[in-house]
Amino acid sequence: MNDVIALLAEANPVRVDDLSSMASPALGHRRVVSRRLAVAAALLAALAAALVGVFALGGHGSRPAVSAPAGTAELSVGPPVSVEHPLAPWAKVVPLADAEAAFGPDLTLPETTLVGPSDLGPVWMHSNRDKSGATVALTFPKQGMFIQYRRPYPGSTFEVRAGYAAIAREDSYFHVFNLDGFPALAADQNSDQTGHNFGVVLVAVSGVEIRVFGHYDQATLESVARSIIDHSPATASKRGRVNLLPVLPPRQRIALRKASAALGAPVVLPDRSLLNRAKARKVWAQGKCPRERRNASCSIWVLFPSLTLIYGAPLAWPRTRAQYEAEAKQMNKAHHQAEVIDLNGVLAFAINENIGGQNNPGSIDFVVGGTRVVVAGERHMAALRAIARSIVDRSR
Amino acid sequence: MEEDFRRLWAEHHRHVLAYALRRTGQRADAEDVVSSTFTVAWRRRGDKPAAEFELPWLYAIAARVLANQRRSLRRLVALRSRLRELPAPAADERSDLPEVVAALKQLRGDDQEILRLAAWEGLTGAELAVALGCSENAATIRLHRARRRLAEQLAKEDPAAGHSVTG
Repeated sequence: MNDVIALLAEANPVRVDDLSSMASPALGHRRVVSRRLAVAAALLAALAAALVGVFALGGHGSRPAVSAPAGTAELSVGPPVSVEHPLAPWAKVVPLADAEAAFGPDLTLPETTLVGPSDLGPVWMHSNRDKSGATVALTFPKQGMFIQYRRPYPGSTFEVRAGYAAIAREDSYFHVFNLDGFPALAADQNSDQTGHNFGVVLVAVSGVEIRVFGHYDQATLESVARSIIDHSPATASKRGRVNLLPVLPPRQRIALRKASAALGAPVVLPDRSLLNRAKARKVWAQGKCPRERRNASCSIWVLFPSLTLIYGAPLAWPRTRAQYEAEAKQMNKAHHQAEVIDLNGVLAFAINENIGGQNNPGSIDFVVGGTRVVVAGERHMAALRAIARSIVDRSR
Repeated sequence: MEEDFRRLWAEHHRHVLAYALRRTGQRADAEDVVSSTFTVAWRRRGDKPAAEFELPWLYAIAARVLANQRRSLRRLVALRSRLRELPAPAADERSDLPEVVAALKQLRGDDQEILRLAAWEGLTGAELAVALGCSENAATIRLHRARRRLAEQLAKEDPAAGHSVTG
């Protein structure tokens, strides 16, 4: 039986010797944190943990304490986050130009009556080694403020909003709101149980998350975040043109006319009266297309403003009405609005997230002509249903 | 303490990175796991075991980080969960997996983990116990059973290969 361990060892997909090192944590920068900054650090840790889904701090499987007593080890460990050191220990101070080069055009400085480019203090950055993203923090010492920019923000608008809503449900001092149409999350200053926490506003815009920290009221922090959004050509031009559902690598951009050939099956679009094909901004072939083997993966993603159509191989499960209904029941237990619907004789699974009452984002998932189709968008469910029904009708 | 933590980082972070990379398949995700793992390790530095068990201890923390990451994502992203069988890198890689890894993926999660720890992280009895948070005896028994189940799975998928399914 040892042969199976040997076989498995041979199949080890990652060899330590092949890996480059990560930057060493700059723990030498740690200093004793004040009560106020300690709370801010913990708040940030809670946010970071919540946003990346890491709740296992402290070895007891609970969320990290946001408000432990001042001066305890609970707060003085981990990334020392403050205006003086606003990112994880392995971040480094860099020239603004380097941060801009790594981050791109979305690294826009705030410009309000409170804070502007001339107030900028040290700039910190932590970039992914594979250059897939970076986190930058701009500090404004005079204002006691720092702003983090994170790219890529992991998730679509759906996911961001859902994530923010989940945080707000779990921690009552957070609340979800819309900042000029973008999903946002805020905690008021001095609102947690210590009464000394920073105020914070987070807003996710086109794959970038902006987090504004400072001892100011929400309106002030919002105005800072808004000034960043307004002054960023990259984000301003994308207002209301979100990509739902991230397309994951490996992926290849293709022309819409080649979508069927790439999938190896017809990619049927809805009627032109429902969707202007000229507005298809991107078409991606994800996976290995066309599929060479039955279990190989290939899907076609057609991205419209606020709508994504996905075509791929059918799911193994669910297939029957009973299975769909069981799936819906399971999802509804988790407070989602899922239902089985009929699209002119084709069973479909509809999810209406409706988080925060925004535009009824949702998805409809069905199999027609041997192809699984997902219609997902920040549109009313009636509109999504019409699009899905049209695809069904045109597939026949 | 900081020097000790620097040493811990220098000696082990690439091993933890490899551990995370084997399980996430994405360098950026794996780096996040490493960062979180060492943050927790720093916080729990008072619990750090003897030097020979530091790495299994870090694996145990990383396992919790990964598990919580997955749980949180499941909770937060209903839509993504609905799309779970749409092609993603992991799914894509599945089609080209070695037979033994494909068989591994058919096993229960805890069987998979102990086999990976043994075969890929190279842990043995007491180290496995630290990584899994159980007694050495329990780890040995669990490994034995998991190996048997993997052999059975391989035999099921390819009877001609004749993988032994006995002790």
